[in-house]
Amino acid sequence: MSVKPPKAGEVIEKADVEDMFDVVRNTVNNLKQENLGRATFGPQHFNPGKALAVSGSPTGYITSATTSGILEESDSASFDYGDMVTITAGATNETTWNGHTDISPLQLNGSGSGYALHPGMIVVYYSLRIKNWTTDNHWHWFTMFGGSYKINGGAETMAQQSVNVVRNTIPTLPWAASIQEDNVSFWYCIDTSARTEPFILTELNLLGAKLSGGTANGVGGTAFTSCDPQIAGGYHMFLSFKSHNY
Amino acid sequence: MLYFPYGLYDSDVADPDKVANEFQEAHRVASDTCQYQFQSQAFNHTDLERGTHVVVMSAGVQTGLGISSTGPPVLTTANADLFQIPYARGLQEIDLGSDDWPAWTSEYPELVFVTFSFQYAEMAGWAFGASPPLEIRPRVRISIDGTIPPGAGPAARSMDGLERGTGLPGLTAVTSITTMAFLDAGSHRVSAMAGQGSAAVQAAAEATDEYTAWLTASIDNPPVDKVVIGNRQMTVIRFARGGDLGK
Repeated sequence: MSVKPPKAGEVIEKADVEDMFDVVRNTVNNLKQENLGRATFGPQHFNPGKALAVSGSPTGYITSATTSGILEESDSASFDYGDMVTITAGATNETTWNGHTDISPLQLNGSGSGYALHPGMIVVYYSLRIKNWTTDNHWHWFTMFGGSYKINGGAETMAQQSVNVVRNTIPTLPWAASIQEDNVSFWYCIDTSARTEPFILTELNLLGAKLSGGTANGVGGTAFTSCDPQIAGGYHMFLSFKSHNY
Repeated sequence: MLYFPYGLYDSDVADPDKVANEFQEAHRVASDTCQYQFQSQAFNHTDLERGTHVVVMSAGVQTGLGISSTGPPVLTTANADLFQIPYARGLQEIDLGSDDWPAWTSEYPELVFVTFSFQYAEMAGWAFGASPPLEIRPRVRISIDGTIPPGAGPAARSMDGLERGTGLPGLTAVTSITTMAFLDAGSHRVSAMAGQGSAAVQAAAEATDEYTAWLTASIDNPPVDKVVIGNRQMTVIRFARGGDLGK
């Protein structure tokens, strides 16, 4: 930035002074990103609670001056072996969720009002404790789980990239043949950057189903026996990052 | 940030030195402006230009193991979306098919959060009608610019000659490996690696059926089937830093 100052001995006209002040004003008012040095701004200059692409104040909303945080997380402390979810529904394969059981203690829905988000990227994480099967188990059987979501109160969409399975195992523990004790965790993204305006993430769900994995030993089909996997704990959370200046 | 010169009053006599000093002062203020001249909480994060603050990158392969209600997993090379973990070939980069591992060039240093989530499955041992488990112990690691950060992923080196604890022990696993790194400005690439360490059985009597292949195959012709990475997702969250951490 430079301003031409008046020289000693020159006659200064009113217009000259106005011109020079205009130079200062125009320069300051047109200050752009490239005119600022690196490390000019720190987190202290940003308003708290605006780090994430959210408007409104859903339950669990983290007010933070930092650049990231958990936007919403499940109340996992109240979800343990005393409140297990039994997966009774059987599925025919890993992509057809013709039958599923909601793992409702881990549903995120903003206390029923959802979350006002901007288009961008929703980063989701879940973990589950697959504790046991209700009765004696079989090593052909699988527990399938994954996430789904609803936007603007619309149809439930399966986040197929989040779907995984764990196979049952024959426990070596002598006291209970039904124990599995598998812990699973998964991160995945829901890309909403193609949307053109803010939206409501109505709910984010976790679903479970059981797969028989074959007809050997007579356990084929989707309604095999009365033996069901049980989820005895877990955690579910998401972050939302804005990608547009809507 | 803003500088307001006194200027000339009505009927004031313009003193060239005084006026010049005002412009010099304006120049000094503008040139010396740094973050401390800005008010606390002066800006809204949502007003930032797209892609300058936080960048989320995602890559992966969305696939199942081929399980159905009437059939077991299809873990052979017939299921092309699976990655067959190489045996006794060290760590090799997991294939992402038509997708690419996250790679970028950053003008600024960044704090990078990297997490790799994957489905692991094997058919050997406890297979459908087969024998007790073989201790295959696959390892899965994150690689940042060709370097494998310690501590992320099941890959401990056996210190006592035993295989236990040196890799994934089960028939299936669904888990996430996470690491954070501070990367300088420049080009970077993040990927995931996998490999099978040496297999071992717990007793000679277990050396039957499916894992006979693991025990009898020549090391130059190792078994390649049925120990796989299935569904896999890499998520990278990059936080730009104007300077080094702590400054």
